[in-house]
Amino acid sequence: MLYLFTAIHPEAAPVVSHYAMQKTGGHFGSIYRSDEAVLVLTGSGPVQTAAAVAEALSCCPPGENDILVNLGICGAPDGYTAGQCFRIHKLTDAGSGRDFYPDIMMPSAFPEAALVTVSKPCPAPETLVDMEGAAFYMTASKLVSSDRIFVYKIVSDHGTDAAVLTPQRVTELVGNVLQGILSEAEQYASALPKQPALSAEAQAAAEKLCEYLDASVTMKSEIMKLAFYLELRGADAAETIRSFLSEEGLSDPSGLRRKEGKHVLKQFRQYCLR
Amino acid sequence: MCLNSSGNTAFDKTGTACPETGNRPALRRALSRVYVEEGAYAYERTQSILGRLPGSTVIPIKDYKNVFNRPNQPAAMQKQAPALILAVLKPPYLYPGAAVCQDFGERHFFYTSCVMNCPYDCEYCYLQGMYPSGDIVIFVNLEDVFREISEVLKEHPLYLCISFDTDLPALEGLTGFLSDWTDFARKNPSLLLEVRTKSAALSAISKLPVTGNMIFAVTVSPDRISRRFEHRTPPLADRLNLARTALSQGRQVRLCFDPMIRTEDFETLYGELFEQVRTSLPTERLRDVSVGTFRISADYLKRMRRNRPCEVTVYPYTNTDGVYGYEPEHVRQMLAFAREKLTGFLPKEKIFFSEELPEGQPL
Repeated sequence: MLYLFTAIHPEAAPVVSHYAMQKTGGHFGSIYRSDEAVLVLTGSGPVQTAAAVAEALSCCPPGENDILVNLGICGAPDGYTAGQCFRIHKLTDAGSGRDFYPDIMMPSAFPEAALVTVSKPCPAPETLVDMEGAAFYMTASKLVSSDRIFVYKIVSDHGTDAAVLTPQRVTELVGNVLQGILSEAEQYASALPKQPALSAEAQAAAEKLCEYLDASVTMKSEIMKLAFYLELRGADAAETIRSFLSEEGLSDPSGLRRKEGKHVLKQFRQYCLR
Repeated sequence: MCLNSSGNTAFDKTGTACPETGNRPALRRALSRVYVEEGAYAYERTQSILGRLPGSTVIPIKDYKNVFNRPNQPAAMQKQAPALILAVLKPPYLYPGAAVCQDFGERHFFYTSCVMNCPYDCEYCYLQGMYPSGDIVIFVNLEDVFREISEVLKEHPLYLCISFDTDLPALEGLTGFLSDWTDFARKNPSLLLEVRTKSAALSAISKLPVTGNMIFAVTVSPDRISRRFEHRTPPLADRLNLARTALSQGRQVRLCFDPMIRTEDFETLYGELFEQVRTSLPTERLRDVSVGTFRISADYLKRMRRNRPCEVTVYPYTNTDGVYGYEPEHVRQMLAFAREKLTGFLPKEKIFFSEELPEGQPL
């Protein structure tokens, strides 16, 4: 799942259209959803952005391989061309002077650049400037690893010419690069390894063992860990548990008291470490 | 970028680590991003290292901790394709040796970290528990470390491990640090250096002048253990070749059977390893050997289990005073087995164990 964050509606419009999204709510920002993505329209400025990002990630917590993307327009010094899109590798919060570094683990098709986030429009930028990037990263990085936070900025103006920027032009600038941005994010999501987890069969067998041993919460936790270890070792955890139950002659789920169960658990531990 | 000059590549020629990624899209090249601390730019070493990494994206930073200590980093992914951070080391430069590390009977046992993190990717490595990042930090102000050591040496001799938190020979092609350490060691005979390595950096080591106060401590594991848990490391034969060549050049060589990893067929695997060492090395020339089973602080293991659940990290270890390890009975069995095999070709005084083993401990 992709989580996309934009500040203003003209930036969001191509995303909403691309995923055929529906607005689903939001107090600090507007949240749009489709089956494939979530879009958060944060509003302009660092405070609004931080609040909207925090709200969205609390309402719709991202999964372990979900990617968060901030995309939008930025100001730039003379010499940059409107429409140039940059992948941001360093964000500076101008207010606090703090720097943040998204971890770009996969080569980007877009050139990289640093970005400074300011709290009010900048008439004569000396570098790429916006009003959301650092606040977005600072909030998102509380919940998501630094490699899954992507920031893209598209040059829209040079400060002095910002006033003539129309909503249609902003939508056009974002729309021109949107497909490239989405491809990168989706490609990275597909590259992320899945955390290993206990198989359903092993889980069922381990729960059966817990039942036979009248296991407490602590004992259950140990049994699950042992089953997980067996699987990571390449053993058939479910079969190992079944063999153990059979060798120990345990056929009655209510045959053991917890004290005896603890003793049997010790034996099971040794059985796993053979 | 080939990290060392011996063909012992932790990364392939394009700098890409050799991860088991299947059909997943490729990650960035290893060391293709270099973060440079503002204060590090002035050092010649910084320019030299950057010169060896053409095409890398260089990002200026105020303090290396802003990158290396970021919260929520994908440390396991970073290990596959680490970024490089060039920084200036701040005091203290020397640390007393940790209790879980062997001192080999040396009284003034210290270590220093002029590089943090290693180009290899061992599943059991404590660095994954110690550091929040898989990126590699190189401190470019070696002279400051040398200055402090010179002061300490005025008080007493020093046994200093310089490759605990990294693998200096594997990085020699990039850093040239071993060469600098060798020069310093030659001028300071009361300094005894230990350089721990799993590399096969033959050409890098062979270029160094021979000095009696520099020990190359080569960690060896059975090939099957190495293939299973020590990703990107050279095979056993190459590590033994490095030890043999170093011995033939008159260097001090230590073999480290540490950590020994317990598997179902532990005795077969390690029995073959000891035999291979006996038959392929002039063992009488070894300075000593160290033997230890896997052990790790509880805090480190907690982080490793969270970041990288795998066979080694989720093993049901026993916690003894905040250190996780195999069950005491298994530890005694493993160490006793090693002692029995090693005393067949090495005098007892040359064998150091991670924990005391009663004489005549039965198998």
